[in-house]
Amino acid sequence: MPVDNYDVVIVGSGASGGWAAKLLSESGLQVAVLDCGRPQRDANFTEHVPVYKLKYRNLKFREPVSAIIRQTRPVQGQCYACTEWNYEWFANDHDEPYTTAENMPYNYFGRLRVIGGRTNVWGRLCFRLSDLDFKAASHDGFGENWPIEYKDVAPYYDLVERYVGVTGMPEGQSVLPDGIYQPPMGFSCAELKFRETAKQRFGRIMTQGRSANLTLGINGRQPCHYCGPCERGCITHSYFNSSFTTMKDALATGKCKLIPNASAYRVLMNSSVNRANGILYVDRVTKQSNEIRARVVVLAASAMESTRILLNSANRQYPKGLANSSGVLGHYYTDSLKGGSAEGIVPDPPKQGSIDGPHRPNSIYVMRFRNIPGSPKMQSFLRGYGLQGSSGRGFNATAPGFGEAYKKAAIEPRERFTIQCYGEALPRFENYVELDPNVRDIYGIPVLRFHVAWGDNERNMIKDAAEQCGEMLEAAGVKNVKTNASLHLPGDANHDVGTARMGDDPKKSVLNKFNQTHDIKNLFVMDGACFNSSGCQNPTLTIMALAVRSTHYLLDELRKADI
Amino acid sequence: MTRREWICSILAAASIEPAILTGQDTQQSWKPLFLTADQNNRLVSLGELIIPGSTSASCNRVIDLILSIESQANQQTFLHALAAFPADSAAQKEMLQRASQAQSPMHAHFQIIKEWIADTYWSSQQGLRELGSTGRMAWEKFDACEHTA
Repeated sequence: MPVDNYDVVIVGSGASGGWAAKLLSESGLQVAVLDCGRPQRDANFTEHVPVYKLKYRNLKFREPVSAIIRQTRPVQGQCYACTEWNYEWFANDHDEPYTTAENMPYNYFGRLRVIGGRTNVWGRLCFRLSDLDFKAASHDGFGENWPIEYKDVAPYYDLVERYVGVTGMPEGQSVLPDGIYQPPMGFSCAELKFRETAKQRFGRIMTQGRSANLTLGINGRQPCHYCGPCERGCITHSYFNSSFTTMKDALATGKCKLIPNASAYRVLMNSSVNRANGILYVDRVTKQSNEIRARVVVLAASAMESTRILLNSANRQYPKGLANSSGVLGHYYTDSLKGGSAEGIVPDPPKQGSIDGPHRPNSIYVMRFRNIPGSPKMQSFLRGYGLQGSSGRGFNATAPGFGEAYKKAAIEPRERFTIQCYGEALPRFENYVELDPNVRDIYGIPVLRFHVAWGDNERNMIKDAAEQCGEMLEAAGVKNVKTNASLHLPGDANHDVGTARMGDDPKKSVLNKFNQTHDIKNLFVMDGACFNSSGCQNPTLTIMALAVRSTHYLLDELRKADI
Repeated sequence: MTRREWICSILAAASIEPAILTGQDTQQSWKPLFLTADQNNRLVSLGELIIPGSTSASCNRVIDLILSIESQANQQTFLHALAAFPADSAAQKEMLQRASQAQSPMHAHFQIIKEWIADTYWSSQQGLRELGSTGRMAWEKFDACEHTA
């Protein structure tokens, strides 16, 4: 049953959809936002609920996921952010499955089912890509350059950072361009020593993780109060979550209608004029199908879900998926590599502080130092990686023995220093998603099948990263350092991007440089699906900047009546 | 609103409890969901030897609750380890002296029981207080190192 007529319908209310909704509705357009999540509100936030208030104490024994979460979310529960405090924010894996090709295990994490999507639980690190990333193919010959350069995106990074509020330190390094930062939060003494050692002994730059946590209040949001677990929400709105920022602004215009509990199935088309004209979706409460009509359709459902919608929208004109005349829709999946780590014990930890906090809500970050201009070319892998970690006070629950002697040993404060690689995976045609012809979710929508595997480039990179992590920690005086060269499964980093990449050549890409599909002028994909390659940086800041850039372009085109 | 006022508002909104031990729930009506009465008694006695205070922290009750929804494999692993220890507290203590040694054939059983006791104890309000927790949830700044870089 057709419902209403909007200027723009947006699928997704997360990092990119929230920005599109805000900017389009603030410009006076009538906007509808469909989201598969439930409404989000401050009352759902549990960052101050102590662990002993939880029925099952968030404990797990000899399993990757606790017993209570395993019942409904055996995959989502493997993500660090999915805990007994908040697991009901995540998709039920049984209700909304996905499949994988044989011998290609994949962890499809971060499937949020609350308004705001992944921004409810994201890691909040905000790093800019550089021309080393946008023009990566020119540096090493692999893949394709992006159709845009750093200077094309820089103004949008500025705009996003000012609104989001990012704490960080300018460092003047072209490999990781500086942004517009709120004051930094500072380092522990061990981290500061690591920073000095990295610079003096290795010529590497360690900086504070540039994160979407306020140190100065903006737009009614308060500075961070250092309680720690941002992934459980924030009653002072001190981290960036689209549900209480961009979406709040959009709804305040009175021009934006939010439709929660709506699983988008496919894009509706007027094939006679090759124009998208709405979305078919399933009401997750009633299980009824509904249609919503609009002049422009924006997909911002997350990289994999937007691609899934396009694949599910195949028709006679586009039999391999909507806007897929190139044949690359679903292909060139890419992601962050996670793994390659080291950890050790900091000698003489400070006596002050307590297990309560204050907890800095971000990590330290070692900028990429492999395969950068001026450095020797690595023989065993292309591209590079950054390192993320922290030193933090804890206790020693695994002390040996029992009785009072054990308790005394257990409560002795100790400071552990951990550091881990987040690297760039090569975007390969062979890494792709498609529809599983035999499996649907409980809403009747065909699900994705993943064909993703890491190769030698990724394995070699992680091996090098683990060695470097260990060497740097030891050089900084950390004791009992242990390295781990294991590589996490694809998907573990929650940085799944690509599969509808942008490019100048319609035969090689799905989107143009403004996130507009080459094939259908009034159909946009504004999330991470547009990524051509991922860099080693966390992707969300770039996703937001490109969404803003795309929205400005859309507004210009609408003013010119060119869409 | 001043910085102090909003920190107070955070604490009020979060309904932080006073950092006072509420003490053991003394209701006699509690019955284990999964363990038998004998198994529960054995666990309470063993737990108190491994971590003194685990009884007043109700570790046995939390363990029983989690076991009631655990996988059959995890349930059996736990019961097998528990059954390896005698019921009598004095005999348990004597066995713990040996089982806590890494080379002991009982060590794996010891580690399993200790893991359950330790995790439930250090996640209790009582255990957290012993680790220095006061329930505070807000700070004005991070305790950054004051040395210059």
